[in-house]
Amino acid sequence: MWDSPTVADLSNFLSLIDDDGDLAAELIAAFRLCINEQMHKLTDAFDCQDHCAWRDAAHSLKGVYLNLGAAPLGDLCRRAQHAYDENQDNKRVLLSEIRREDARLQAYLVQFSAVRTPPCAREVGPPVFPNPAFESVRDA
Amino acid sequence: MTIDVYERHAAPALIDRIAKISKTPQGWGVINIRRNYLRTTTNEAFMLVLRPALIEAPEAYVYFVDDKNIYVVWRDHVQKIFRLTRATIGNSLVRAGLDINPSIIVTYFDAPQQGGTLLAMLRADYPPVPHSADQEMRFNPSQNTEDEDLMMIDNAAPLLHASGEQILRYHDMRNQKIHRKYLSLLVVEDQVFTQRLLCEILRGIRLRNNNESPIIESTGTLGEGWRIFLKKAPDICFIDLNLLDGSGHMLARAIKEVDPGARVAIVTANAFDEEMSVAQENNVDHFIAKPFNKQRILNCVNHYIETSKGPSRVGFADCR
Repeated sequence: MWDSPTVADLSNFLSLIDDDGDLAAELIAAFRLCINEQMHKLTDAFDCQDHCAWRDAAHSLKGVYLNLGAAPLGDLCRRAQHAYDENQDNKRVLLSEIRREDARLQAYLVQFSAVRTPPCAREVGPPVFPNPAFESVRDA
Repeated sequence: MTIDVYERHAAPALIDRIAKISKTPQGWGVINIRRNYLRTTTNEAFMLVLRPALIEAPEAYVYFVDDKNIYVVWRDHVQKIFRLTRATIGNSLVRAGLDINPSIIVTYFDAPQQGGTLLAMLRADYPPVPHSADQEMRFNPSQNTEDEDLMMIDNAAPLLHASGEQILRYHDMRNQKIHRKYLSLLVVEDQVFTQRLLCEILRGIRLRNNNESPIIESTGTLGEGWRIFLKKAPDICFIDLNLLDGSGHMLARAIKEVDPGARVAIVTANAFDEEMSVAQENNVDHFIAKPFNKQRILNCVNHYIETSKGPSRVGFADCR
């Protein structure tokens, strides 16, 4: 029984690009740019109480997270997208959850970039596809 | 057999005819003939050459619309008469020394499927002009430039317009698909990461018989996607729903209005019932939910190859 959900499972993403490490690095760089841009939009939409902009930014984030394999973040963004017309308090909670989960994902991606090959990661519990290289970086 | 020939007021007569036949389920063929590729002949001489090709049609209509376009409309034996007219034109009417594929000169429109599109195109190119009873309707090239005389696709964004000339060029390009040995694919997706990922997946597809990889065009905007579609007549268009300048649904609908046979796949993280029903209303061929799945994308490509006359001659596709 895991206490924490999977941050990301990159196995599908990697299989889509035939486990090409260089391409994965390029795409992850593009992923980071997209996330930064959309996270700014989501934050701006929250500050300006712009419901439509909030919904669109949450939708865009959802698609990008899902395609990388960050399902929990995809689900959070799905919730945010549906909650576009809710009050600011509810949105604030969602926004902070998304930011927190994104920080975990970014940390995981840093580790991934360092070892290049982990197909998945779990914060608690064994990885779905054990990878000694990844485990050694995590233990260090 | 009767053949009615229209030389005066041909455009409004043609528009009336297309409006009538587009409501009938089947049995009518329409072709556009580019006159600037033909030998300079009188209309009578043209009809003398063309008439035998139309002999089996119970009724046929020939419209000398302007100095660039002739339209022929006929009932029954649609495919046979189309082939005969194209061969007749290619053999006997093309200007000497012009080595050109007859499908460039003759564009076929399937009346039940493409009647609406053709009608919209004709109405844009030949708007009603008030004239006296004896005034002949004349084509004025200065009123018909690509930039100025634009046709709006019904209910679509202002970005989604095309001149009649652009649509004709699209259909020419579409007719060339059968000669392609590769797949031509269009990706319209505004998120750079997702766009690149989809392009990489598609780039990995190989046609089984010749190992050709597809030619992929990609863009993040509706307007650019529309422009590329008209210019390249891609085999399959992969379209995201939330684009920077509008909804992918509008682009899908505009594409299907111009060419109901064009293949459109919606790729979206919004796999909700309402989105799917809009896609169904637009006759979208595939609905691919994110995250991407390689097999689903490959199935989509293979479905196109199985059911089209395009690169099917070179067999099915595999992923690398």
